[in-house]
Amino acid sequence: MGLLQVSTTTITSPTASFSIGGIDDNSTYMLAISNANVSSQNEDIYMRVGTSSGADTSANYDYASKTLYSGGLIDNYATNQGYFSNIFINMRSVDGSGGAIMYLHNFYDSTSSSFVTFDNVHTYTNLYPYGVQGGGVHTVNAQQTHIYLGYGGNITSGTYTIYKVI
Amino acid sequence: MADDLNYGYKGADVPQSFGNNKGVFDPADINNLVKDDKWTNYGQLELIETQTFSTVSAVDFTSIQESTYNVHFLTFSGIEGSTASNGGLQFYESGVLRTGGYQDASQFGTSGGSFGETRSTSRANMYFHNYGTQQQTGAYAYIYNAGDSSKYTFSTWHSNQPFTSSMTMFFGSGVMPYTSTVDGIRINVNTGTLTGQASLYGIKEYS
Repeated sequence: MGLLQVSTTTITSPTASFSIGGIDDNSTYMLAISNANVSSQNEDIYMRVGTSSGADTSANYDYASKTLYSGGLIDNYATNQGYFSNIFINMRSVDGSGGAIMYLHNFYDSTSSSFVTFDNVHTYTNLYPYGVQGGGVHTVNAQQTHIYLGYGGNITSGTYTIYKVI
Repeated sequence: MADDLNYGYKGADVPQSFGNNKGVFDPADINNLVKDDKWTNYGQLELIETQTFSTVSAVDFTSIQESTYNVHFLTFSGIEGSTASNGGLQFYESGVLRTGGYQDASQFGTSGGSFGETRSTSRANMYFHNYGTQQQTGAYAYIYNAGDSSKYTFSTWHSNQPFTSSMTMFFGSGVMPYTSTVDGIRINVNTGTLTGQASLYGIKEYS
């Protein structure tokens, strides 16, 4: 397996949402996140798919995942709403910046839904690590070229990079 | 420097960046571009080191290039223990191995149909693998923020463990909740020794 960087964004000041593009063929892509954080305690980072014209805000984001929490119950989490709401949840806004690897499948194929696998971890409000591992689908047959992140608070930091898997 | 400019052309300072190199370059120009992290070099999954080991109590990666990579990728292949034992990841902070205070949570499931979890807020390592004898298992882990002294260092992992009588899948995540620079990674086993191969990669990012 090899990786080819197609786009990257580094956030250094409060941002409600932003996009990363560069998906331009039917390859599998990988989104790598490091040092992601928010401006205030308990804020979240959500994710949508879209194009250069904007994000798809329709309630067509389904996912199922395990929430892996060292301080309490490990649970199942599944929902269907207007974004993937499980990227980073109730973040500790100081030193607990999140990291994630997400594989993006069938995004560019206009005849297919877009699929994502999650391998995410950050620090929950009370210092415990909070992992999210699972899968999701945006159940719309359309070509997607961008990832949109935000919608749960102001993002203050992080490096967000999309790679093509080659 | 090959000429009157850092890269390529004489007389015109052409902006250069990853994926957007323009000009005719001689070897010195390319060296300058590589040094300045502006040369288009395809393949951002970069091997740092592979270790093949036999009957060792731990495997250390001590040159992880933490200032270059925000995300590291660690793979195991063909690993077996001298006895059945748990093991995990530990980190070096500026050369000093931390042996306590790790937190993790993982989910497991067996081919026999049983599922469960393991978690801790105080562990000697980030527990992510069971080793068995004559069972050459595999695993991978991502490690985040190692080189940032103001952030915690996190990891996520997946492994398969043909442990006891049925295959076991295992995935989870954890943190070393200390703000420090991590400059080394240890794969350890609680009891016995390890034999196998492990590789550490950096996931390169051009800003």
